Amino acid sequence: MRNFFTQAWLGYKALFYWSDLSPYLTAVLLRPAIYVLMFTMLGKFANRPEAAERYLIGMAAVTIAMSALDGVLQTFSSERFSGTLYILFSARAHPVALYLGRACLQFANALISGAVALVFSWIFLALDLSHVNWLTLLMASLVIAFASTAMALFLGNFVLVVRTYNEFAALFQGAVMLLSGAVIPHDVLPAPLAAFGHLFPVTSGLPAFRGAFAGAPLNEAGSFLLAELTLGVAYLALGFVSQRMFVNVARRTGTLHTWAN
Amino acid sequence: LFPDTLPFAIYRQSPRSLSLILDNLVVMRGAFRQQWRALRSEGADWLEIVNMLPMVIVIAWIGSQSGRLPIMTYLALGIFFVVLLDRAHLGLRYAITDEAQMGTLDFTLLSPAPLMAVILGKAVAQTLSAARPALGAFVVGLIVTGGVGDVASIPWAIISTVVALVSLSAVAIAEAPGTVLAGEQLGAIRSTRSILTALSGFLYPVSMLPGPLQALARLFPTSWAMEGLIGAIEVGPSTATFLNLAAAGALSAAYFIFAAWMFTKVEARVRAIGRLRA
Repeated sequence: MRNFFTQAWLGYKALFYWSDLSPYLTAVLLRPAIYVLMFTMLGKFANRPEAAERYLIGMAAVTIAMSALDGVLQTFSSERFSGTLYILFSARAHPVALYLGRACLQFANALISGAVALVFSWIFLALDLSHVNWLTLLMASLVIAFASTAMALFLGNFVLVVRTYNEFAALFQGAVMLLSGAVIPHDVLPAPLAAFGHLFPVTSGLPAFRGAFAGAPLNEAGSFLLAELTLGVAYLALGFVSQRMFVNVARRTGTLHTWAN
Repeated sequence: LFPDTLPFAIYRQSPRSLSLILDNLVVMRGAFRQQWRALRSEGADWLEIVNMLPMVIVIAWIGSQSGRLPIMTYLALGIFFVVLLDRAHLGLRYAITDEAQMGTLDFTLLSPAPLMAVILGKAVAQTLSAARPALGAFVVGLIVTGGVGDVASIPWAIISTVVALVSLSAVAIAEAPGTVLAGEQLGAIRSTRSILTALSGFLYPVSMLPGPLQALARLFPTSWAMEGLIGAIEVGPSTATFLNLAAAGALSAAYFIFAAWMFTKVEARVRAIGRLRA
C-alpha cells in the first residue's frame, strides 16, 4: 500500500503540470468557482432567478467531472510526451496499482473542486445550505468523482494516440455539461441525446446531488447513486482492459511508438 | 519565393531613414505569415468548432429561456466574443510558449526586431484564425436562441460591437508579455481565460455581479463595452451608452500603452537573464 501511494504521489508531481501553486490555484480552485458564477449570472440575466440556482447546483457537480477529466487526461498525455511510457509498461509493478495510481490524487482534486464551487456559491451567490443533507451530498460527490475519474482513466488510453489532450478533454467536458442535465433538463433534450447522456458521469448522480440540497436522505438517493457507481465500475473495468490490450500489442510488436506517436 | 525570414532580413538592412512604423509593419507581416502557416499546418479547426459546440448550445439555450429578443441578441454576440477570446487568447499564449519550448523564440530575440511587433503579428494571425470558430459559434447561438432583433439602435449596436472587439484585442495583447515569461505554466494560462470570460461581460452585464467581483470586472475594458452594447440594444443612443463606450475606449488605450511598456521591460529582462522565464 505504501508503494502504491508513493508511486501515485510521484506520478502526480511529475506528470500533473498544475501541481505547482499558481496553476493549482487557478485551474483546480478558481476555475470551478468561475463556472458556477458564470452560469448563475447567465440564469439571472435570462430573467430566470429560480433556474439560476438549478444551474448553480448542476454546474457544481459538473466541475467535479471537469477537474477529474482534466487532471487524469493531462497525466496520461504527460506520460506520453515525457517519454516514460516505455518504462511504465515494462515496470514489474502490479498493473492495477499502476493504473489506479494515475488517478488517485486526481480523484481528491475533483472533490476539492466541487467543494470550492459550493463554498464560493455559499459566500458570493447566496446558495441556501439550510436544508442540506450533508451525508447525501458527501456520498453523491464521492460517487460522481469516482465515476468521473473512472471515465477519465478509460479516455486516458485514447489520449495516448491523439496530438493533444486539451481538445479531447474539452470535448468530453462539454459533453458532460450538455448531456448531464446540469443546465438543460433531460426532458428537453431529444430522446436519443438524453439516453446517450446516461453514458456520461454526473447524469445519474445529479438527481442525488440536487436532492441533497433539498434535504433528501441517503435512502432516497440510493438508486441514483447506485446507477452512477455502476457506470464508474464499468468504465474502470473497460479502461483497464483496454489499456492492457494496448500494452500487450505494444509488447508483442515492439512498436509502442506506432500508436503512441 | 518569399521566405519568412526575409522581413527580418529587410529589417536588419533597412536604412535608418525608414520610418519605425514601416519597419515594424514588415516585422509584423513576417510574424503573421509564420504564425498563419503554423496554424494551417496544425489543421485542428474542426476540432475547435466541435469542442466549443456544447458550451455554446448550453449558453444559447439559457438565453432562449428568457423569451426576450434583446437578451438573445446580446448573448448571440457574446458567444461570438467568448469563442474569439477563448481561441485567440489561448492560441497566442500557446504559440509563444511553443516557440519558447522549441527554442525558436531565441532567434526572434536575437534579431533586432522588437518583440512587440512579432507578437502583434502573431496575435493578428491567431485572431483571424479564431474568427472562423467564433462565427460558427455565433451561427449556432442564433439557431439555438431562436433569433435576434428588437435592437433599439442598430448603428449604436454596431459601434458597441466594434468597441468590444477593440477591447478584447487590448486585453489579449496586454497579457502577451506575461506569457513570454510564463514558461510552462500553461495551467495558469488556460485558467485565466475562464476568469476573463466570467468578468468580461460577454455573457451578462457585469453590473449583475456581486460587489467585489463587479469592481474587479470594471478593470476590463470589455465590461464597459458590453454595458454599452446592452444600452444600445435596449435603450438606443444615450449618455450612459456613450459614457460606457468612452470608458471602454480609454481603458483599451491604457491596456495598449501598458502592453507596449511591458514588452520593452520583458524583452530587456529576457535579454539580460538569458532565458525565457522570469
